Amino acid sequence: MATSKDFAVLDLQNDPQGLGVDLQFQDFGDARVQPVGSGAGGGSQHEQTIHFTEFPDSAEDDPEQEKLMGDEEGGEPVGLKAGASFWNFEFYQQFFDVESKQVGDRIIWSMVPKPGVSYLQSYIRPNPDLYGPFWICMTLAFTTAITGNLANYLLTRPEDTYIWRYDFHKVTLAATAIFAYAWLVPLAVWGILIWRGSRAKISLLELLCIYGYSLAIFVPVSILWMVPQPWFKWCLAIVAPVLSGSVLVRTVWPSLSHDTKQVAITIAAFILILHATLALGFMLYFFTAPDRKATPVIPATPAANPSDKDGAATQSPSKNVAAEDLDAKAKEVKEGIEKMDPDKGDKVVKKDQAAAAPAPERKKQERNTPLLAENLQGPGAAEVGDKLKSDDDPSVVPVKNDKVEEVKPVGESESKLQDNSTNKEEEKRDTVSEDKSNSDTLVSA
Amino acid sequence: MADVDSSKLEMPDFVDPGGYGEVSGEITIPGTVGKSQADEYNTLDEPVRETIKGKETTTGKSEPPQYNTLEEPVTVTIMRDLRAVGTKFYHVLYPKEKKALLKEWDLWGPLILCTFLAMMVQGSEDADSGDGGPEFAQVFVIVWVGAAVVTMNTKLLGGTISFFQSVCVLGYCLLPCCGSLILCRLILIATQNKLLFILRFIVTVIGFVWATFAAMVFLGDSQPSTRKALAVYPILLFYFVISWLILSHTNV
Repeated sequence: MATSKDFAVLDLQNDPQGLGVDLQFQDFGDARVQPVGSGAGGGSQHEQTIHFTEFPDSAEDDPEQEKLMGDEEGGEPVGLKAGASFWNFEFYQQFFDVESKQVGDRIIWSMVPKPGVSYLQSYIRPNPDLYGPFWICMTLAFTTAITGNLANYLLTRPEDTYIWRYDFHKVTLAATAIFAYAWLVPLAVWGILIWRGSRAKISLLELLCIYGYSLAIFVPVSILWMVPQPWFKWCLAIVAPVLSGSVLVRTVWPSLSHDTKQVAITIAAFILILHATLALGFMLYFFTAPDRKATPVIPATPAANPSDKDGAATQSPSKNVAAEDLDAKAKEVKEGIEKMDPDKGDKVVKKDQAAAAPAPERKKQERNTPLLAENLQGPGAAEVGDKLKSDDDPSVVPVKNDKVEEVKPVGESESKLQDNSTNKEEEKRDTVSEDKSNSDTLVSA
Repeated sequence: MADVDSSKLEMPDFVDPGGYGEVSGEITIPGTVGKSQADEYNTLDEPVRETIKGKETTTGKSEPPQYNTLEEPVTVTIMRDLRAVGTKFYHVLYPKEKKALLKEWDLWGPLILCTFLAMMVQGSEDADSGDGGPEFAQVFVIVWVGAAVVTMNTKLLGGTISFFQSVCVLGYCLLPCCGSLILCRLILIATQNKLLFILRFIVTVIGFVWATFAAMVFLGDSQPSTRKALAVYPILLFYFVISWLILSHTNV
């Protein structure tokens, strides 16, 4: 028999009057609180605040309840908490209500599909957060840009024929693609679920949270993508979206279970395909360098990009690439015309300068005219690969002439344009090699 | 004394010097520190006065500033501000005392450092050298918007520091990064080879670690311990990006 004054049970038996207050409090509480609360009840004679600590105890029962109801479908979707208006700071604080350990758990289990456990139930509910998605997207944007630059550097370093320069625009591009994926696709999926009448088994906030965490696997993968072996890169590009995509689909699946099998599988496949497209887009755009000899790895990238039509993420890289091409061509046309006028003997030298000058400026043209680029991409991509080493430059001219009419008389500069415009990375190296090849064609022509 | 301290500590969002104790308002013995500083204020010493730019009205002591910037020579005003900035630079390099940056925040130091960084790191305008570096404005945006985002993150996680104090700290802690930038530029004067690249890498890493450590010293206490890692990680990312900009700047 403990004699501690903290045990109100004993006190109850001995001193009923002293605990008249406790008896009142025990009336308020739930039945399950009583055995726990009585311990604190002894101390609560002096301060009522101790009773507030009982409520978190009752929260311990909720996971048990959820387990009784089953892992897959228990619990309600967690939306916005009431009581905070959009204009208060507290409204936004509710999205950041996480501990470090929780974030760590969420990241790890978004990558590894655990068989018996629902990721959503165990790790996201009851407080889905936006800290994880936001900072994972930021990290991924910078990591992709940095490792993409490093990958380029590693691929070109043995050449040592030019000073490698890094491309800061990769950062803005990566950030746009990643944030678009992480915010627009959950919106689309949520819209689809509402359209199919899923009765809101999963809320928009939870979808945003899950998609954000599912990108976490790409951070280490983007670092590993620096390894120059293509088979390794392809392995990563397959394994990573499969792992995180499977967690995604398993999380969304309960919301689709009421639907017909076909529709459910279609939507699940759609989610997986988008995820894989993002991974492929990253790999192909940031981590694949065109071949040193300016041959035909290049058609692979413009050809691959149009094939990813359903991926929002890859459309921006391909648009920028083609936009670059168009602007570079326009600039080089003008330069070519100017340089054509003087003495024919100087043409070779001046054309080299003309090619070299616009090439580095291409980086600054990335922001322009995505619309025109779409038109150009189709015919351009197919022909580019063929023309690169060919000497039949005039034969190619008629195709491009609808875009650059004033160049009709300027056959040789057109060939240089087409050669130059196919490179989106390693321009300097390629223009040097192309200048050599172009000067060869000019001499021979 | 204790009342004044506790009342101040309950207004974390105010732009208050916080000179009477820890910024978080949660931790120990603010009274003793505050008391000694209250004594300093009472003695009306000039060196203490220079850091109190008329904000004493929040202290509850309602003492007017002992200087009037309209009536003093311009050099005195400028030197006072410069000395304040210099003191903060010193405290960033030797982050032992936490209150120095937070007590009286100012944004002159961050502006100077950010402008210097952006000027040095920006890509060149010549097409020939083909430097793909960031534009001046991009660096500015990265620094200021980055500092603002990191601060908002700290506040959203429940930090008790005020917005401008946090931006001030993050800006001043750019000083080690700028130091490593100067050293890298000096190293770049020589013809580059692998060894020099490794040297630059080491210098940049040292600057990055120093900056992050200094920022953690100043900002660390404002978060509960379960969320400290969550608050520190964005700071780490911020200085990492800036260090990457410094390291990849190879244009001489």
